[in-house]
Amino acid sequence: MPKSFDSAGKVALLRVCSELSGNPEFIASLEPLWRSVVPSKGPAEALNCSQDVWSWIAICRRPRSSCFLEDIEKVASATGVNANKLQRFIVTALTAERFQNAPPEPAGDPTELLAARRYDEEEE
Amino acid sequence: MLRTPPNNPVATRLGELHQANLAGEPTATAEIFSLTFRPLSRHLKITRPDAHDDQVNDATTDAILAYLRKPGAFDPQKGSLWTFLCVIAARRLSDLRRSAGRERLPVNLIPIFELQPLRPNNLKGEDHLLAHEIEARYLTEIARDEKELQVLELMCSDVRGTSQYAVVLGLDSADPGTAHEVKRVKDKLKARLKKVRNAINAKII
Repeated sequence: MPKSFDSAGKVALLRVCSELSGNPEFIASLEPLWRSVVPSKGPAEALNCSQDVWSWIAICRRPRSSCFLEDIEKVASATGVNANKLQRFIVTALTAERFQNAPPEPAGDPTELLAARRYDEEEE
Repeated sequence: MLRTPPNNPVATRLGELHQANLAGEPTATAEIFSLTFRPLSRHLKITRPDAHDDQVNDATTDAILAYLRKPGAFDPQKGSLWTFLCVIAARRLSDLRRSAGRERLPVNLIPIFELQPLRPNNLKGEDHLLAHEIEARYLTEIARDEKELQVLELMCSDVRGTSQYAVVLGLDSADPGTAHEVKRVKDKLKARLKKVRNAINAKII
């Protein structure tokens, strides 16, 4: 893995990728999160690999939290990408996901901000 | 035959990969796809030579996707992962071909086709309804290879006579032993159907 597939295999692989992009168990679901942070660079470019290799990575499961780095190493060695780049990609996307899922900040009292500003000005 | 010999290295590897997938091993899913896509589509092309390539590829992809989405649906006690994928792919291919056939039908013929009442003969009353209901859930227990699956489909469609069954089973209709062989396969499927029904009843009771 990754195998060199004929055109039918490549089409199937792309379809599997796209179908799994909505499933949070797979790396494919990290692509939109990554793009929300780095819209100018796709995953393949970020990982310095071909689109085919990215497809193989995308249909892998997300690394388990219990053996996060080990799992990243496994995916990297199976697909031939740089493990550090893959780690950076996954951590960035997971951080974006955490921010997106974070509960909204409770609306604070605006006078608190004004008070803090006054305090800063007095300090100066 | 769909059943893979127990010492088949691919079947063994698929069994290992299934366990790895359940454990969350990240590369197991990609390896399963890599290992099964080509052989599965080749298998469909051999068993359904008249099927369109696009339909074969779609059915193959659908079968693998169904497994990847819900690996727990496969029970290793009931057969190999290869058999499981073959049955799903064959079923999906039948659906795709059926819907493609429907699309080709003139619009005014579709309602007539749908309104044709089924006359239960091979499967009567409760059995007829039950067969449809449990087909999807217990399919691998009832039809264990592609031919049996097609025979079951014909039985569910209330096909009488032996000629269509003979075609599916690869038998010569003119052969005097064909009717007996067709009956034997149908009886075998009915017996498995009964076994599944009893198992369901036992669970309910």
